[in-house]
Amino acid sequence: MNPKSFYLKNDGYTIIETLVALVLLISVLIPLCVTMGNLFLDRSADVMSYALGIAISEMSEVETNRDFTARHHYLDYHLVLSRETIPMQELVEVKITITSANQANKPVLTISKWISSRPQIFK
Amino acid sequence: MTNSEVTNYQIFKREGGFALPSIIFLITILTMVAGSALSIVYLRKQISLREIARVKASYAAESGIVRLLHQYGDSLADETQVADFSEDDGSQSHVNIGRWGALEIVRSMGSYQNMTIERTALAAQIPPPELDKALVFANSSHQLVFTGASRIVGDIVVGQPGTSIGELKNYPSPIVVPVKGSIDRRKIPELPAFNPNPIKKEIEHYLDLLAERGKRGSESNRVMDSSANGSNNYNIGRVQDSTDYIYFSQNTILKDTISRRGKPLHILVNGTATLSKSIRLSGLVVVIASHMITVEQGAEIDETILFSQDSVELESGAQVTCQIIAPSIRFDANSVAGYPSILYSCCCGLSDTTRQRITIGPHAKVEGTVALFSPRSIPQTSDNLILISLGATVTGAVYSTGGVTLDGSVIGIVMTRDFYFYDPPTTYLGWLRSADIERNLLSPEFLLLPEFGNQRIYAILDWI
Repeated sequence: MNPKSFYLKNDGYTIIETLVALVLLISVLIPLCVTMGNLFLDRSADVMSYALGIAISEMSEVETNRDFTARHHYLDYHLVLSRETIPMQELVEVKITITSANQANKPVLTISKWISSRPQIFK
Repeated sequence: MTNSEVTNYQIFKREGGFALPSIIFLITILTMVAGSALSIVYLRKQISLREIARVKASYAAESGIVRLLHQYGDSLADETQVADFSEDDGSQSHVNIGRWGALEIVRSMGSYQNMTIERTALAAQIPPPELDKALVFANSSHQLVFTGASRIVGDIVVGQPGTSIGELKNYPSPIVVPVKGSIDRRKIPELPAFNPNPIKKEIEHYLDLLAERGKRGSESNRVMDSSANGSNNYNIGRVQDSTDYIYFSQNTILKDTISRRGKPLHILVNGTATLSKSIRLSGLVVVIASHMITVEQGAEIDETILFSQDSVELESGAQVTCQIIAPSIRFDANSVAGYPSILYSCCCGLSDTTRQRITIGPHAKVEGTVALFSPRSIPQTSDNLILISLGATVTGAVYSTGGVTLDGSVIGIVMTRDFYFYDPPTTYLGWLRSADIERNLLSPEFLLLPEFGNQRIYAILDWI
């Protein structure tokens, strides 16, 4: 191959092809990175599991101690636990709500249970 | 030069760009990685939501049981046996109440979204206010006589003749009537109302099953004449979960382990049944025998019903937590029936009621209800008898339409028409020589065999 023919060749990466490839890569990569970032930063499943564990523990405490007073207290993950009790004759409806401290009107979790207000023993 | 050589040569000589295909390949890989990450996060969230649904369904099931028991106690209507409840959070429960021997059984199906959870509980009765006494001595014909170390802590109800102190050979006489509580003298003292009909129905059902020789339900859910092979030993561990009935046509020794939580297992024995020391029975299991049931020391029996047309005997040292229904029940020395146990003596469809007897041997312990109900209009004190031996303890309630020989201790309530013992050559009626009744030591959480009193309130006795 002589030098003349090398300079006359038109094969290789065209600017158009490179640009199209770059645009494609960027248009996929940016949303992908954002989504992946959000997914890895998303701890809603952890928060939900944590909230559920706390709520179950709170309900067990109410049942064991027969403590039917209402109360609020702060938890990890900027969560707030609210215990509400609605007495009805010999029964009490216990509602445990866990909300985010930032979004008080949007509960993460609510569980409720009817409990007899009478102390009980099981074997 | 061959064609293939030409092609390879041309490929290697080509200098066309590969940027686009490589980027598409890269994007595909990245998309797959992102997809996997997304599914992991999605699955984790789904697992959390599923766990929440499971807890809500479980709470709905338990709430349904509590609400139905509350409703059932208020209405006292037999037809109120099924109910549906909805909770504010969208969970629901379908609950039904039925009979499990002398107790009520409540089954609840809680559901939330696509999750369903079943819960089962045994229910009993909260002692009605009239049972806040230590003793109801429903006898208007003679006095309640104290001698020896007898004492009662709690209020008592007696007939018009009242109480007195007596002298008995070999027993010291107390100086004052040893009752730490009020003495209510009534003209016609009566036993608290008790409705035996629901238990009677259950007994009739057991007798029908025995008479039908287990031929109830489809063939697939019963095991017929398991002892036909000549051996009288049977390993119940090999019974399948789908089996409802097992029938034995001869005396049988039961061994091995079985536990039932969902559907009950009926073990029908036309003869004597021996629950060997290696047996482990728990949950919804009923042993129905035409003759004696013997529980050997070392047997583990929990929540089970033992029904015999003849008698049930616990050997010395045996420990159970169960319902025992039979005309004659015998606890040998040091045997134990833990809470919540029920010992119920009935005539079981036989005209001969003279065999009705509950004997609790020396140092034996029973926690629950000990009841003897005689269908006779005038029960015989000496024939229809609960005998609590010296050193034996009953924690709970003792009820007898016949008599009670109370030489041991009762932490709770005693309701009887009469007290009886024989000290040769004399029969003593209305006498207590070494009885100890302490009402104040009974836990306020104690639950009674249902059907007492006119207004009943039920509560959960045990979760199955």
